[in-house]
Amino acid sequence: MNAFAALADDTRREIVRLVAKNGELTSTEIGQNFKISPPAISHHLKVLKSAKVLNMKKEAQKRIYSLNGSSINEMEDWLVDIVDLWNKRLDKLDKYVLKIKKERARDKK
Amino acid sequence: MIKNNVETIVEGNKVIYKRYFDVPTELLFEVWSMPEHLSEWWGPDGFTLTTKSMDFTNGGIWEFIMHGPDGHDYKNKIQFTDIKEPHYIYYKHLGDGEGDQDVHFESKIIFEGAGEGTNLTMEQIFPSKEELERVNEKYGAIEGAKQHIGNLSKYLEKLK
Repeated sequence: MNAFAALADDTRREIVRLVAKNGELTSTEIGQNFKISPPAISHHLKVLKSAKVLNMKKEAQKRIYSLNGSSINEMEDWLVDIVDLWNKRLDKLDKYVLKIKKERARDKK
Repeated sequence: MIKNNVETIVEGNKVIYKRYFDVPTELLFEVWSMPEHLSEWWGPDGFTLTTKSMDFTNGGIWEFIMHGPDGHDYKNKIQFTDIKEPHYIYYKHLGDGEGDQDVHFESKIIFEGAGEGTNLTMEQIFPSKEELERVNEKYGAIEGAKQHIGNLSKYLEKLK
């Protein structure tokens, strides 16, 4: 599951907000904020970890979660590609209109 | 990112492109508004473009296919929401035209005379992150679009 799909769930979005606000939280601490069962929380955390939205490190018996800062935000990634495409497209447009301008000036002569 | 009168600004869910073109406003508007012109510059290098239909009026639809160099066809559908010759063109990108009205983004293209030439400002407005998530969940549209644009980028990289 990609980051977008992982975040399409209300509970998972709430988990991410919570972790973002606190920096680091154990799975137990995260679970205390929700009314759902520990296995359900654990499933959500697994999804968020595999989608690279959250990092997880183990310390003794604890699983500590934090935001994955290095994972590229997909939307930004996508945006960069679109910006790149449009800049190239506008370059082409520039060449094209200058060509037409020249041709029309020639035709007038 | 300013080079030869080119500027790109990203703020929030908007991308703004500003450029100066050394041609009259009427000409610049013309090449945005006719399929025979659009097919000459819209597609990236190596792509060809077929217009299925184009109705350049308010609410009108432009349906076209971009034929990639790898043999892939990319369907596109654009709806013109507001046109004022030769001042501006607003449109919505409706994806591949096969899903529901899953708007990827809206664009506003504004032409302003500047001496002998024209200043073009293009604003792309992307839906909110929540909207993107919804669309993605429903149609996998983001992945599709990313792949599509990604392919283009990869291809364009090769041309450098």
